[in-house]
Amino acid sequence: MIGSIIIVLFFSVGVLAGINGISSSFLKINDPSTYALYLLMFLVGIGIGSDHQVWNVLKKMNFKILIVPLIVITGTLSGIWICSFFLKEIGTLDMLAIGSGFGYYSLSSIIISQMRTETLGVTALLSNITREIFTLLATPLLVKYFGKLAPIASGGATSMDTTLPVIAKYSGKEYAVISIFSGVVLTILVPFIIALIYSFL
Amino acid sequence: MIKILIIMFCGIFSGFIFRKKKSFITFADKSAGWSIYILLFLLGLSVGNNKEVINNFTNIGFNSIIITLSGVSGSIILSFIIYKIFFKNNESL
Repeated sequence: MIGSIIIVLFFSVGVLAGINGISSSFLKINDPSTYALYLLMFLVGIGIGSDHQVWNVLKKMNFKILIVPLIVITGTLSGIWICSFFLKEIGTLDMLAIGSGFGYYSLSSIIISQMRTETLGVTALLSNITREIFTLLATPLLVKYFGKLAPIASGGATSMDTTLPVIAKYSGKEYAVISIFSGVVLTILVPFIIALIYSFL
Repeated sequence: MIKILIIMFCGIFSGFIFRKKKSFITFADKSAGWSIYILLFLLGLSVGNNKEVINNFTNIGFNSIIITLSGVSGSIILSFIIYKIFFKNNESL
């Protein structure tokens, strides 16, 4: 949770500095932020590759556990696809790409603002933060009315870390493994799914 | 975009190869944290400079929440169905 607050703080300080006239025009020179994104992806990759939890969790793979991240992907994208008939302001592909952050707001907002526009990047940031906050607050109710998988589905990529404690508490410890597995798989897939969606542009 | 994915794969591969080198992994983790902070600060900075975003902030916030709620509802409903079919009566996971 503290990590999330720090991240939002950096973004907000940037916005305030920007509003108060500190220019970002120095960024336009050779666009260093693209290289920064490449560096970030490399570092994120190292984090995944060196995480023994990732490899342990992948060994436990079976049909029942594998179906959970698939539910999250299919459910999220179909929900948003239906919504796209009503929300005309943002293109369908952009909406799907924003939803494909699955709560991983830092990475998805950076990728989308690089590939598309800043407005969409900010939308991705807010949308995916909302997903995390919603899961943290709603988990007790979700378990009560929609079963023990519901908070894992709602948490998306965050179910491996930030929302794991609350999920383990209300769904039970036996669901913690599924929660971590689903979160790990979704975290790895976020950049791939966003790239796949934008390949239809 | 394919470039980003290849770079990430190289990262995963190097991470796996050097997973025993604790100091290297800690350094990479810390750098990843700081890259995220800096990139989000820079995103914030250009957002602050971008009148279009600032003037539409309420609208952007509204759209974000709608996208989240539709995506989350879709996944919760689907998880409810799958839970009923595969999980509920068979607690051995």
